[in-house]
Amino acid sequence: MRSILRIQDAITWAGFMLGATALGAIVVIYTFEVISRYAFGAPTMWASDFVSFLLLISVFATGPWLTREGGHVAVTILPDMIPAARDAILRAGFFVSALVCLWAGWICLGENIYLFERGTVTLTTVRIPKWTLSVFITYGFLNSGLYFLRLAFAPPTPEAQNG
Amino acid sequence: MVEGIGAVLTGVALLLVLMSTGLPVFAAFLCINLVAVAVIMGPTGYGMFASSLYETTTAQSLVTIPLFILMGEVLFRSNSVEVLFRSIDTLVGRVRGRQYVLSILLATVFSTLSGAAMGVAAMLGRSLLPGMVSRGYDARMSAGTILAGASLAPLIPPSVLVIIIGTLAGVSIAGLLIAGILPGLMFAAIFLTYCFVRTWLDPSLAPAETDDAPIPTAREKLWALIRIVPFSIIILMVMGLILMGIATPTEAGAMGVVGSLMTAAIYRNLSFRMMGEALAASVKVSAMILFIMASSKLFSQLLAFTGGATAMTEWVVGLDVSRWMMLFLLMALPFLLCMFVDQIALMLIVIPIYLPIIERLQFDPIWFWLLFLVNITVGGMTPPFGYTLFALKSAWEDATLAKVFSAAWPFVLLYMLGMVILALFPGLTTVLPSML
Amino acid sequence: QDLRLLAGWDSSYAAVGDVLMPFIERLEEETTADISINVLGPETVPPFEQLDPVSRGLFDMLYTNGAYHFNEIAVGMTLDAMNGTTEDLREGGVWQAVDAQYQELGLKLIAVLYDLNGYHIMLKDEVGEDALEGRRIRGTPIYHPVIEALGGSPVVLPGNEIYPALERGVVDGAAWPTVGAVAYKWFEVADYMMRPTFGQVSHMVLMNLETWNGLDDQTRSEIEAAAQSFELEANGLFDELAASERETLETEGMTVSELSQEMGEMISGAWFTGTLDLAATQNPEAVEEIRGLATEAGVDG
Ligand code: NA
Ligand code: NA
Repeated sequence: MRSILRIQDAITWAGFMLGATALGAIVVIYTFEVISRYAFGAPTMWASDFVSFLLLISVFATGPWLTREGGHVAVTILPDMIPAARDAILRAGFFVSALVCLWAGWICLGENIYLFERGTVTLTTVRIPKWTLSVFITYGFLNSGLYFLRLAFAPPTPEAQNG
Repeated sequence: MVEGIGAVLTGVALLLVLMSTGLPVFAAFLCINLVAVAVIMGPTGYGMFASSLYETTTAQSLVTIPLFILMGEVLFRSNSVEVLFRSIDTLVGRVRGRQYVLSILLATVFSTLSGAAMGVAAMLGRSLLPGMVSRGYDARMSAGTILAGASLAPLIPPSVLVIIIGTLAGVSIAGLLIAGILPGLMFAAIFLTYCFVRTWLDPSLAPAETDDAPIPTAREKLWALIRIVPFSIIILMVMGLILMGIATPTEAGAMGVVGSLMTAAIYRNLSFRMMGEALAASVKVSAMILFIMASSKLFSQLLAFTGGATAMTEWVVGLDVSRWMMLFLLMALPFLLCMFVDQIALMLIVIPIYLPIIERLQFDPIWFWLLFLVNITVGGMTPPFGYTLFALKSAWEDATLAKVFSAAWPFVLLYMLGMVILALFPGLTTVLPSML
Repeated sequence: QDLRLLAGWDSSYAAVGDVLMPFIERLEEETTADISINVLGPETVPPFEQLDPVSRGLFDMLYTNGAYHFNEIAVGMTLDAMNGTTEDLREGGVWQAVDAQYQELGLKLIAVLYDLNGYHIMLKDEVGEDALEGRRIRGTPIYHPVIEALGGSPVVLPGNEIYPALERGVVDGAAWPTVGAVAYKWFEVADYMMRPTFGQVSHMVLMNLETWNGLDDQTRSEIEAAAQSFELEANGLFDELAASERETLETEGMTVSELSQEMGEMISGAWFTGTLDLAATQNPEAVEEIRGLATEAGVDG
C-alpha cells in the first residue's frame, strides 16, 4: 500500500512540475509574440491558442499536488465553533470533497471518451484534438479525489487544514 | 424541479451551509453544481458541466491571474520590495503610515493594468504584505489597503467591465471611463484619510520613527531615487507597453514578469533556482484560484438556466417602492449575487432587465452604471465569500481567513460610504463626461 | 409546448432583439399548436459551447453562427461564404445539403436568417495604396484569407479585446460583421470602415432533431412555411439595421474608405475560397458537395 501511495506522490509531483513549466512557457510565448508582432510586424497565429491550452494544463496538472498539501482555501466557521468535533467535521469534509472530485472526474472521463470518439477539435486557429486538453481536467479531479480520501483517513496529525 | 427565485435561494443557502462546514470552497461549488445538474438535467447536463471547466480555464482573460502572481513571487524572492520600502522611507521622510499610501497605489495601478483584482491581491499579498508586516505595519490594515486598492481598478481604464457595461447598457464607454476619474480619486482620498486618522489615533498601527535618525541628505535622497529605478522597469514594462499599444493587457502580465526578472538581475538576485521556485509557488496559488473559478462557473450558468436570477431581478424591478429605495435594491441585488456569481454572467442577466426601470425613474445612466460598477467589484471583497478574499488568503501564508475578513470589513464600509456620497452628489460622476 | 432556445448572443445584439424575437413571435402565431419559445443567452452556455447541449436535447433550439461550432461541424460556416438569398440557396439545394449534414448530428435546420450586408474591416487609418499592406488586423481564422489577400497580418484576439486593442493601436484594424460597431462602441476608437464588404452573415436557427420529430406533421409544415417566408423578411430587417447602423457611425465620425475596384473584387473570391477551404479541413466531403452545388447555382462568392 505504502509503495502505491509513493507512486501516486511521484506522479503528482511530476504533474506539479508540468504545471509550473506550463506557466513558464506562457511567459516565454507571450514575450515572443509581443516582440515578433511589434518589432518584426509578424504576429504569430499560434501564441494566444497555446497560452490558453497551457493555462488549462497548469491549473489541472497542479491541482492534485495542491490538494496533497491541503492548499485549497476553506471557510472553517462551523468546525472552529465546535473545537471538540473540529477534526471529525474536517475529515467528513475531506470525504465529501473526495466523493465530488471523483464524481467530477468520472463525468469528465466520460466526456473525454465522447470527444475522442467524435473527433472534436479545439475551436482555435491551431486545432488540436480537444480530448488531449480535457484529459488534464479528468486527471486533476480524479487524483485530487484520491488525495482527499487520504486526507480523510490519514492518521491524526497536529497540523490541521488551513482555516 | 426548483425554479425561479426558489432556485436562487436554495442554491445560495446550500452553498452557505457547505462552505461553513469547512469544505474547500471549490468542492462546495462542485458539490452543489453536480447535484443540481443531476437533479435538473440528468446525464444530458454532464457535457455542460465539463465544458464549463474547459471554457473557464482556457479563457485568455484569466491568464493575467497567474502572470501577476508570478510577478509578485519574483519580486518577493528578489528582495526588490525591500529596496522600494527603504527608498520611500528616505524620500518621503517622516510621514507616519506612509507605506499604506504605497500599498493602495500599487494595488490600484497593478490591478488596473491586469484587470484581475484577484491576481493582484495574491501578488501583493505575497510581495508587499510580508515586508510591511515585518517593518511593523499593521497586518490587517496593510491587507485591507491591498484589497481596497485592487478593487478600485474597474473604475480606471483599461477596464473590461466598463466595456461590457457600455455595450449592454448602450452607454458611451469613453464617457464611463472618464466618469470614473473623480470617484476613483475620491475613493483613494477616503482610504488614505482613514489610514492616516487611524494611525494618528493609534500609533501602534505604523512603525515608530527613531528620533535620533539623521535627516537624509540630498545625496542620500538621490541615491534612494536611483535605487528604485530598476523597480520602475516593471511599471514601465506593464503600463508603458499597454499605453504605447505594444502589448495587450493580457500580454502585459508576461511583460511584467520579464520586467521583474530584469529587476531581480539588477539587484543581483536572479538565478535559475529562484525562477524555478517562483514558478512552483505561483502555479499553486493560481491553480487554487482557478479551481474555484472553474468550479463556480456552472453555478452562474445554472442560475441562468433555471431562470432564477432573471426571476429575482424582475421581482426586484417590479416592486412598488420609492425612487431611493429602488436604487438601494437595484444595488443590493448584484452586490449579494456577486459573491457567488461570475461578474460578467451577472451583468448579462441583470443589465437588460434594469434598463427600462432606469429610464422610468430617470436615473442618469452614467451615474447609475458607475455606481453599479463600484458595487459589483466591492461584492468581490466582501466577507464571507468574495473571490478576492480567497486569493489574498492563498498568498498570505500566515493568516487565517478570519483575519482576511477582518482586514476587509473596514474598507468595505468605506466603499459603502463612498457610494452613498456618489449617490447623493451625482455631479461627481457626471461633470467630467458632460464636458466630453 | 414549451421550447428552450439557446442564443449565441445576448438580447442587446440586434440580430437577437430585432430579428430573432420577431421570428419567434411569428412561429408562435403561425402554429396551430400551442407553442411557446423561451430564449436563453450566452450567460447560460458560452457561445462556442452551445451546439453540443442542443444536439443532446438539453435545449430544443439554437440560434448561432456556423463559425461558432466549426470544430464540430463546418458546413454551417460555408453559408457565410455564399452570395445569394436563402431562396437561391434552397433552389440550388445548398440549404438542403447543409440541413442533411446537421441532421447527422441530431439537429434540424429550421431557418437561415441572412444579413446580406456581410462583413467589413474597421480601420484606424484609411486604406492605402497597397490596401492594408503591413497592418495588423484583428480577425478569427475565417477572416485570415481576406486579411492576407489585402497584405495585412491577422492577429487573433477575443472580441472583448477589440476596443482596447484599437484604442492603443495594438492592432490597426478589426474585422467584424457590418452590424456591431455601434453596440460595441468601436466608433470611439476607429475612424474608417472599409468597403466593399464581403460575404454575408448567416444566423442559423436549428432544432434538436428529436424535438423536431416529436412535433406533429401539421406543426412541422407550419414551422417550415413560417421559416421560409421569414427568411426573406429577415433580409429586409437586417438591411434596415445596417442602414441605421451606418448612419449612426457616420454621425459619430466614421467614414467609408474604399478599396480599389480590383482589390474589392479579389477579396470576395478570397473570402469564398478561404472559408470553404477552412471548412473543408473539418468536413472535406460535405464541403466539396456544397462547393459544387454553390458553383452550379452561381452563389459562389
Ligand atoms: Na481598470
Ligand atoms: Na402557436
